[in-house]
Amino acid sequence: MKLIELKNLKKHYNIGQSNEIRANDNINLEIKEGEFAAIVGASGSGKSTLLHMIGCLDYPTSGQIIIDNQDISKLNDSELAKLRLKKIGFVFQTFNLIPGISSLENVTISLMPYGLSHTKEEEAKKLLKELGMEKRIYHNQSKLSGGEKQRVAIARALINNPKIILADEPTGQLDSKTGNEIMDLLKKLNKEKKITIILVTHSESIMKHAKRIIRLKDGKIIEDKKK
Amino acid sequence: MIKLIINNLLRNRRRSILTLIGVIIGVAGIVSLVSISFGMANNVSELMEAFQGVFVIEEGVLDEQYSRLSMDYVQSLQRVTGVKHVLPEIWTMVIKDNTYSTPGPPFFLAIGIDPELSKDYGGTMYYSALNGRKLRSTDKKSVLISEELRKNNNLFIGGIIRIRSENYRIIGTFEANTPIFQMAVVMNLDDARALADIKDDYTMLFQVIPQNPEQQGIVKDRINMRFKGELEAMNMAEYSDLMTEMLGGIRIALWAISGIAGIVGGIVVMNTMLMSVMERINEFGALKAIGWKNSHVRNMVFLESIILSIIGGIMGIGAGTFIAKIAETYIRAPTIVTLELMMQALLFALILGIVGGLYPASKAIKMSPMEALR
Repeated sequence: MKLIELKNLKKHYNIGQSNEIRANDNINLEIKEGEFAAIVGASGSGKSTLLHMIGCLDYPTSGQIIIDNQDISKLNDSELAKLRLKKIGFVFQTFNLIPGISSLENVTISLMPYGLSHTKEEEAKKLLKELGMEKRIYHNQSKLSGGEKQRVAIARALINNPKIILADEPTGQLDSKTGNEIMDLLKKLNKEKKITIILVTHSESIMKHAKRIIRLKDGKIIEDKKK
Repeated sequence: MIKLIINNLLRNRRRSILTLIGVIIGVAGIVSLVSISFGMANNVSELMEAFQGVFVIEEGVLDEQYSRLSMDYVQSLQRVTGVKHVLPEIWTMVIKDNTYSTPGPPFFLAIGIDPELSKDYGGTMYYSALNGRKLRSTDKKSVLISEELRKNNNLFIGGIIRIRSENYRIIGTFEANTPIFQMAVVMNLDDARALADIKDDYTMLFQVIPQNPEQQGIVKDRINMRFKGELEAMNMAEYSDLMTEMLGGIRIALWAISGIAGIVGGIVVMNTMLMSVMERINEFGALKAIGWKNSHVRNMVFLESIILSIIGGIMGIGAGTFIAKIAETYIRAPTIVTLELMMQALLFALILGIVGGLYPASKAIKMSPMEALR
């Protein structure tokens, strides 16, 4: 079943100027529920822009983005925020945890402005335990190692039971052993919870974990290979 | 959410403390300066309540200190229809001798009166004695002092008070109900003339008491008409209004001075919040990516600014009240810190927070999450 559909997607900057940038150019892509895809390419190939567009963090210059049968070009900022909250989980290269608060608070932070229930807090604790963080639940994020921070970030991405996890260079700041542990964790989530995972990487060793490789060059898909 | 906001403020404590100091200075400035103006206004109104009748000074002078009136006016004013008493008075400030190092202003208010002309009059407090006896025309270098002055300086009736290196015998005390009269020493006109450097047969002002208190206005108009170009008569309400108006002007000036401090405080708040926002742009991008709306981010920054200002405002009110108390204790400045003033100061702090937080909050949401994450 189609979960993500991109039709003639374009994202251009400085349109009409001599320095026009075609970050994404005429991209057509379908991603089915439960897939584990890696968007790969050299630096500046447009892979992060594409990931951000799928994540509803930016509007395309033209084309359509359909997520779970919803055309996102018809949604306003507030509706997009709700869609991101409910359907998409983000994992960043630099973790982007909020300093000064605990792992548990970081996991539940997306729900704070909407009202955090006791049930969700218990779910967050369970998630952290599942990810091997049972002894770090109340630790301040500044006391965590890189791998632990990324586990908290993954728990944060999972708190609302999203259909999609978008990971932007999730192992970029980790050593290879910890990086592999994180990749195993993502694979496990994909396999056991059937969460669709799309990750952006330029690392050959990381992309081999994915079941589908989408290669970009100069903003265009030049290869789309399934294992 | 509140915990998150407090955490954000505590993350850079030094910056938050500097912002608080900015707000505290602005608010404390308002509370202390405006409280002095309230105190001054209260003093004037108490002072005016102590007086009766019509107040007559030389026409065209700035205030009574510059007024010089011949004693011949006693008879001519007495002839004005409706006048009961004409009481010549001299008011002059005398620097205190070192002997009197008690708290309070460094001067006495020496009031000269004519006991003969006022013998049938007992209206104004210092014309009667609470303890001891009233002044007589034959008294030389003799004074009535306020009970307050006697207590504060361990003086006693029959004892001596030093005024400009001369000994004055204390013959009695009077009850003073205002701070100004609490530092008063009342003496014969001749002694006051020497202190104020006023020629014999001259005085500074006349207190004119009408036969019928309700006819004050008529008596005042008659004096002004008959002595046009020579004397200026005012009833106490008018004088009080004049003083209140003058104090109102002072209060506006004090608010303006405080306002400048406040604007500086507002800029400090804005600067801090702006720096804080710019540092956390990436964080805001992440929060938006995981489901926060623009309004959530904006409200968080806005609330941070407001909470900082309210805390600063409360501390500023405390500091301002403390400064006012110090001013009252050590320089005897009259101060009144009212609940209304506290509320105004808190409102001022709140406005600082709102104004200081608006721009940074709008800055925080303007950037797209994608740009912010980069």
